[in-house]
Amino acid sequence: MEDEVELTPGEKMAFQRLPTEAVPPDLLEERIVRALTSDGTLRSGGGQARKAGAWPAQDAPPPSGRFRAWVIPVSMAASLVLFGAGVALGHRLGASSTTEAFLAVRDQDATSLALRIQEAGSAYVSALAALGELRGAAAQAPSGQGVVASHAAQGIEQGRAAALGALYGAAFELARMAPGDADVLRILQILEERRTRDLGGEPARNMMWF
Amino acid sequence: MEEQTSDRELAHRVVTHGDEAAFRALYRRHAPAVYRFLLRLVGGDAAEAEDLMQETWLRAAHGLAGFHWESAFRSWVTGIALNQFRELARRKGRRITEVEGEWEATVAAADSAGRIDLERALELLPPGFRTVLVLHDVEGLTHEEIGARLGIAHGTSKSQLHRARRAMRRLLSVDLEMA
Repeated sequence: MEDEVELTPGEKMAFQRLPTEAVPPDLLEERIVRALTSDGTLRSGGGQARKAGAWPAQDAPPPSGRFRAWVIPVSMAASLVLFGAGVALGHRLGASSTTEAFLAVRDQDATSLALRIQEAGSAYVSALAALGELRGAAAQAPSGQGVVASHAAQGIEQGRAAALGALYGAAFELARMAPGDADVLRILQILEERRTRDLGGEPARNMMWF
Repeated sequence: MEEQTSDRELAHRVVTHGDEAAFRALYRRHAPAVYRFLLRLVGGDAAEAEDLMQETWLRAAHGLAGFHWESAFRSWVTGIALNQFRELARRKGRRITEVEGEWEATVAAADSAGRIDLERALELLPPGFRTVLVLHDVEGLTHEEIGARLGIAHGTSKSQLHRARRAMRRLLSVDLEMA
């Protein structure tokens, strides 16, 4: 058996300097809690989604039962877009024969898709504006309403994370549509680096998109 | 105050009431350390570390009622994480102590990459070296503990550490000597 190679003081110090913690991705906690709720280990409703960037000082159970305000405008906007698209499609299919409808949908597919993208984009911008107003309201909350302000801040943080996620998804799809578009790839790369940084890792050194 | 709630009290709430908030509190208190540990074991592969994290915490929650508190909660969860890592290695068809055939390629990659820091060097080590080095030099486990946890003789752990440290020095060249 070989003898151990002893560490030098410099090596020991280097090991001691290594970080002992890394922030796991926000969604991981939700994934785990959802799995435990669905298999009956946990009862739902007793806790709140994690406030981004609140590790690890926020390890006490947060108060329960607060609904996040940003969900309302986002949900309403998304519902309206889907409802509108469904009504338009149903109307078209009901008004003409199947073949005509199919041809009409096929011919106008790109146009209607572009319209839907525009509508979704408008809804996204509206939701961001609502989020911005919520941020202002949270900042102006009186000092006695610290808990309310804290919950508003938590909602805002989650809204920000959701918005960044949507932005990343859109950039990714754009890059798939136009792999040669250097500007889109730059945007995607910036978002990717930010995402990696938020997850606690280092930016990928050699990224290959496709 | 909630901040002072002990791990044991939180675990009790999870076991007796299925208390989601208590589970989240336990998770938030210990997940960063467990995640860092897993990230090191898998050589920085975030997707793999996340999968192992999920499996670790599901198993911890399911096994909480059987935990006898003879060790700290974090040690217990970290042990589960290590078992999950071993299980992953088994599924991939490799033994944790297996290093042959990987080492020269790793050194060649490091040489071409230029100077690297300790964390990066840990990532570059073959899994067999990395595991023992992380458990001994980062986590502070003894060879007996490592042997018990990895299912290897403590002499194997010692020789593995010896080779791992030499490999680490080769990766880092003189950087650590100057630290």
